[in-house]
Amino acid sequence: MKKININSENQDSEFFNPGSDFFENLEKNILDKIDGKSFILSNDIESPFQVPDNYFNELEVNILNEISYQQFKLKEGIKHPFAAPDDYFDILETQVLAKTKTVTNPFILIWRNNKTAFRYAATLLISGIIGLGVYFNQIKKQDSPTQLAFQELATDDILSYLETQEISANEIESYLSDSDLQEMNGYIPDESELSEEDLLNLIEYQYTEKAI
Amino acid sequence: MIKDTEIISLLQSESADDHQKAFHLILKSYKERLYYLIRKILIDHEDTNDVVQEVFIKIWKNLDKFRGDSSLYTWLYRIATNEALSFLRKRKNVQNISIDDNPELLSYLETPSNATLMSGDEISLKLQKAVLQLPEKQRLVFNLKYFEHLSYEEISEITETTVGGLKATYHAAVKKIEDILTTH
Repeated sequence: MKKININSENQDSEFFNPGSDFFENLEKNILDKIDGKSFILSNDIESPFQVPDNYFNELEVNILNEISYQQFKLKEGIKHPFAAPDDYFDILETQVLAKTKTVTNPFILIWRNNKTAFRYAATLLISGIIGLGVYFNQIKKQDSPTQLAFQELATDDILSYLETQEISANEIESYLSDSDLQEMNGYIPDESELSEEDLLNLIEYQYTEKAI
Repeated sequence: MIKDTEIISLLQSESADDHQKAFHLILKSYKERLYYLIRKILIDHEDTNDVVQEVFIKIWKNLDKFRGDSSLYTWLYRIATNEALSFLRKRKNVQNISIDDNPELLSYLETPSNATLMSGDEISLKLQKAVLQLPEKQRLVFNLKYFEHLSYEEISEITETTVGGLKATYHAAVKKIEDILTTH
């Protein structure tokens, strides 16, 4: 422990001397504090910052929403909202079955439904070209195709023949004489003379034959 | 319930009568499934009715082409899906609408005349509206996976896409739907 020498009067007065104006200032400082002139940091100074009205209520909602968004997962098992009319599926079945009975190669429909085309077909047959004899020889087992007369041919036979041949319009035209063409008023079946439905059927038929 | 194996055995027969019977069974067994599969793509009942009839006619015409390489229902689903998408693309092309945008289909969902053909379930309707905001491929894969509960392998057969690609597509679709549902 440090020992302090308290015996010397001179040493003591020098050690505790606070300065000549200390006591004057001390008095002044004490009086100033009593008067409240010195600055004391208060605990209740307001922040200069402001927030929009209702900000904190919205903040709370936003944070809770964000949490729920982060946690949101698409749940399984939500059904689709679609419905069909009453008895629809029974009617559908009937309609489809009816169509399967009538749907045929669209070439058949076009030949059968287009009178001009049929007349053209008949002319082709009369002209005795494009292998008609061979065809009917095969299907009718007759001795000679030349024995066939146009009048003897059933419409279905003619159509059946045309439907099984791959003949282009140009090819057909090349077989015909000028008089044949003149007789037919220059008729060569082309797309412009087919109805929109015929065309759609043709496209659809071609598509389904190739697509699957 | 009619089993696919029964139908397939009829299809494998050489008899035209058996093929006809097989078609009757397909029609009976799949008419509702294919209708709703197409309805989810086309939304409108009348459009769906037109296409589903065409689909069955196409199935009927091509019965002899089913070789059994894929399962019967993936073959049927592929025909139905292709036909519905083809219908949609043709119309969008005419209307000059991108295949990935569906403003016309969204309007069908909101058209009062179609309200009678909706179940009226609010969350179902919201989900459908969200699904209609997906690009075409994502929408198709989402429908097949979420609503039809098909496996990725089965969807792969229908869409002719790899399983890996399908998984990525499906997860992207789900994420987008979740985003849409939480921000609307």
